[in-house]
Amino acid sequence: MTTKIKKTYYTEDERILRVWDIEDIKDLMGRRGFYVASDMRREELNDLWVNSPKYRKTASLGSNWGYYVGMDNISNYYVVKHIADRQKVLDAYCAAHPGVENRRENLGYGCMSFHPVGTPLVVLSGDGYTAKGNWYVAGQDSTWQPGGPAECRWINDRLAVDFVKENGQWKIWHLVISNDLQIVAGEDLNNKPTIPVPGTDPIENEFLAGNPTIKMQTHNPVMNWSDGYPFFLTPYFHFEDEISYGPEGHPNIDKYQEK
Amino acid sequence: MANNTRFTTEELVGRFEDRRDVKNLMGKYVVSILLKREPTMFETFWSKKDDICLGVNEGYYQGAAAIKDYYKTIDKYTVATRDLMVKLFPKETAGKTPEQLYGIGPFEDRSINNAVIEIAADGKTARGMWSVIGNVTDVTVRGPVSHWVCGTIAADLIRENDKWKIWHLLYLEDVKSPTGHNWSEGKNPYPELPEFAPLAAISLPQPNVKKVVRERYSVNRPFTKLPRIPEPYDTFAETFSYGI
Repeated sequence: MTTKIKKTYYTEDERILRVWDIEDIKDLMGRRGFYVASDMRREELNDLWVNSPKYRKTASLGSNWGYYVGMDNISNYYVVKHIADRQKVLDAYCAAHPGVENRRENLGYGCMSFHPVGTPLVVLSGDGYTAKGNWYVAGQDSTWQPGGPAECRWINDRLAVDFVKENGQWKIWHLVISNDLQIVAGEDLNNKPTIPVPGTDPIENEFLAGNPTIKMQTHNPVMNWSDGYPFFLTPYFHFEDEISYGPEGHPNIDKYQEK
Repeated sequence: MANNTRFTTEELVGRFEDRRDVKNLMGKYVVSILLKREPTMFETFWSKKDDICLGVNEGYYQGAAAIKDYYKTIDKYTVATRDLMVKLFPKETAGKTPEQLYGIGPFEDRSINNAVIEIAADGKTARGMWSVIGNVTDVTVRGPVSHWVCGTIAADLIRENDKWKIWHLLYLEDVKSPTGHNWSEGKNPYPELPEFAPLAAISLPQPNVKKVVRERYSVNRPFTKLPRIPEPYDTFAETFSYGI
C-alpha cells in the first residue's frame, strides 16, 4: 500500500467527533444486520448505501467469487434477483399450502436470515472523509423447501467495508462478504469434504447466478488462506484505490483486466 | 444517525460515556443470566418506574410484581435443579455447600452483538437493539438438553440517580432448538426421563399480558420482521416504545 499515514494533530473537538464517527459506523453496520434479518434489502440500499452519482457508480458488493459494481448492478442482484428467488420459494410453498395466497406480502414464508455482525475493527481516515471496517458474522439462513424441513445453514462470513460521508452521514461504499464456512444444521463439520465438489457451494452458486460485473476468485477459503483477502485494516490518511475493498483494490485485478 | 455537530464537545464526551455504559449494562445483564444471578437481577437492573415491562415471545410481564415473580421462579427452578443434581451425583457434589452448588446443571450463554444504540438528545433515556446468538443448556424433564439460540433484545433505558436502568425490555427468540439437529423441525428428540420428573412441578409464570409478540421460527411461519430499529431522537415522548 502506498497511502501513508501522516502524524496528525487534532483539536479536542475534532478528536471527539472522530470517536463518534467510529461509533456511528458501528451502528450503521448493526442497522444493516437488522435490515438483512427483516429482508429489507431495497431499504438497505436506499438508507445505508451511497446515494450521490459519483459514489453510486463506483459502489461494489463483493464476495469470494467477484464483484457487482455500480448501484444498479448491485440492486439487480441483491434486490431484484433475491425477490425472484423468494418468489420461486413462495410459488412452491403455495402449491403445497393452497390456503396461503401467492402475493408479495407472503414472500419469505418459512424463511429466515440472521447475519449479526460482531468483532468490529474500524479505522477512520486521517482526513476524516472515509473509513474502513472489518466485522465477523456467525449467523444462519433458513429457506423453506418442499417435502421436508427447511434448508437451514450455519454461515460464517468475514465482512470488509469502505465507508464515505455523504451530507454528514456515513454510507456503505464497498462491501465484501467473504464466506469462510457454511454447513447444513445438524451435519457434522468433520464429515464435510475437504475439497468441495465444484458447483456444490450454494453461496457461490447464488452469487454467480446473478452474473457479477467482475467474475474472479478474490479469496480461496479452502486451500489459500494466506491470500489474506479481504486484507486487514491499517491506519491511513487518504483513501486511494489500492486500499479499496472494491475490485480496484484487489491485488489480482490487473491480471483480471488483462484477460 | 444523529447530527453530532449539534452537541458541544463536553456533551459528546458525556454521550459517548452513556453509550459505553448502556453497552456495559446489557453485557452485564446477559452475563448475569449466565451466572444465575436471578435473585438479584431485578434490584440490579430495573427501573423504579411503574410501567416497567419484560416482553417475551408469548407476552409481557408488566409491572414490578410480575417481573420479580419471573426471576423468582427461575431461582426456584435453579434450586430444584441443584437439589436434583446433588441427588443424582452424590459423589461429584460431596463436600460442597448448597450455596456453592447453586447454578449447577444449566448453562446459558446468550452472547449479544450487532448493537444499535441511541442516546436521547436530552440525555434522560436511551434505547438499544442487539442480536443474540448462543448456547443454552437447560436441565429439563428430558435431562440436560443443549440448544442453539438465536434472537433479538430491544430495550428502553432510563437514567435514575445517574445510572442507567432497564425500563422496557424485549427478549424475543427466533430459534431455540436442540444442537445437532435442523432447527426447522421443531422437535425435541429426547425422551422424558423419570429421574428428572421432579422438575415438571416448576414452570415459569405465564406473562400477565398475553399476546403473541413474536412467533418462533418454523417452516410455516410467515416472514416476520424484527422490532423497529432505534432511531435518533430528542425526547422519549416523540419516539416509539419497546414496552406495551
